[in-house]
Amino acid sequence: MFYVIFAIILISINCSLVGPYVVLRRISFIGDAIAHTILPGIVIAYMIGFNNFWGALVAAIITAIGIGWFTGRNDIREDTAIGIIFTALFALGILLMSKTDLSDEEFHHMLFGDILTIGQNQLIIIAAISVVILITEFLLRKELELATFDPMYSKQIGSRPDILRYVILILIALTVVSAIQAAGILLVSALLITPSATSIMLSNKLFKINLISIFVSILSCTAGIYLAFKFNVSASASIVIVVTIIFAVVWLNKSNRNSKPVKR
Amino acid sequence: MRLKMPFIPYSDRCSGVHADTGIAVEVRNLNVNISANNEWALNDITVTIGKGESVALVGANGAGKSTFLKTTAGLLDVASGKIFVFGHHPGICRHRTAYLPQRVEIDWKFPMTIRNLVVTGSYVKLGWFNMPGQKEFDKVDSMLDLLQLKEIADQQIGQLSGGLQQRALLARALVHEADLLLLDEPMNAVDKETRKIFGQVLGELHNQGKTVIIATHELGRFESSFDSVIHLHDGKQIGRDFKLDADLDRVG
Repeated sequence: MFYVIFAIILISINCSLVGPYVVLRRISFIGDAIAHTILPGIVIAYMIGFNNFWGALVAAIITAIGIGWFTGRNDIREDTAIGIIFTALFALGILLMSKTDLSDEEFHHMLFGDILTIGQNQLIIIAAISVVILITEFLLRKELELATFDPMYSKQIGSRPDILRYVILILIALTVVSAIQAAGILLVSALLITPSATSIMLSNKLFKINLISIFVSILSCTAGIYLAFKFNVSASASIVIVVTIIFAVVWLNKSNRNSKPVKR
Repeated sequence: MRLKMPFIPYSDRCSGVHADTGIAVEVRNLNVNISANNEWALNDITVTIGKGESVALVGANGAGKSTFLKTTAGLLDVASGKIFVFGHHPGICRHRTAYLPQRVEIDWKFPMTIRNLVVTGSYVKLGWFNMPGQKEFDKVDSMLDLLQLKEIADQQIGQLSGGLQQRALLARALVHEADLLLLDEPMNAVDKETRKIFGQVLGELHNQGKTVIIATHELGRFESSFDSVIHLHDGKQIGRDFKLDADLDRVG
């Protein structure tokens, strides 16, 4: 249980640090995409006898760099690039998988994960990636924010929004790869988007957005796991339902406040 | 938490050494292509803008005004011809050149306060990793005061009217402390108060010897505020009018 609690906290921190960039750059699809594109990496690693994690990591980073390169050319939109690379690599993974003796059950576990069965090694990997994300985002916080908000001004002053886009994409890839085998595609995608989308409605400062998002994630995970035990249902699915309810409550509250007539 | 880091400038920064030629922007037979269909967005432009001059670029939508400003700011590639900004290629003297984009090019829903938008103008002088401190925020506050934005400095940028958003962008360009300001349609659809404030700020910049190039589709009553007016049409320069007293200065 200790491992599970630690994993939830670290996955929440990782997703909440990169999540606002995913939402603000309008690339919400990316978590889901990277989670699928790691399949060929995992299968190739399995075929040549390497650890699954390294296969997944290489595939995720290739996806991130591929998306960055495609969109940097300006003739393909970022969401189109994500869609093309995602489906092509997933298809390649399925083709390769049919040539191996991987069982459906193993495949299912790789992609859908189970947070309650997390081991020490996975926890160490997630913690190492938390350190990388924390240091990168701490040092580059003003540059990453400006490149997301106003890439043209960022380019004019020479702070290289083109390279910073790769930095963000690689941080997203690291987050997804580290969390996927514990949390699964559904939960990683949800934790990347929903807590950040919720906290963006509550603050105008990126640091506060990160903190609120971490709080929302940990709260949802704790409540979701409790409900999963109580009703004997999937933990990942319950967490996603809880985080979506929190989002809906904040959103309804905010839109209700915005629609009230202003006193003159 | 702030770490004091050594100054690491952003890429391609100039050495700070400039030949005193009296010229801010020099353009020779400039061609710029921004679309894939090989139509010139700027076609054979030749123009010289002296230091301290205030120049208006006038033309309809698609005339090439924004392309000229973006090329001067180093944001677009040159297809052929030459352009020099303070004697360097564009995009080298980044701390001396500030570009104010059109309001529609900014994501106003972004979670950011006016103060935080304006402080981004100080980043060019901070370089990589260093965060703005008291000195930078003091400068921001004085600009917010000048542009009458101080009362609403902590509001989210999307909650402002068009005129106030335009003032916030001007405040950022002023915090940049550039010698050349490239302002893209700053007075498009703004209120009377903002126009008045812009007029005062432009006058002050002129007095300080700053070079200002403004793109606008109509000059209105600001015509007399400029030393010269460059007319653009379909990417070509179709004329340049100099102000009478500026003409006399040249003759004298």
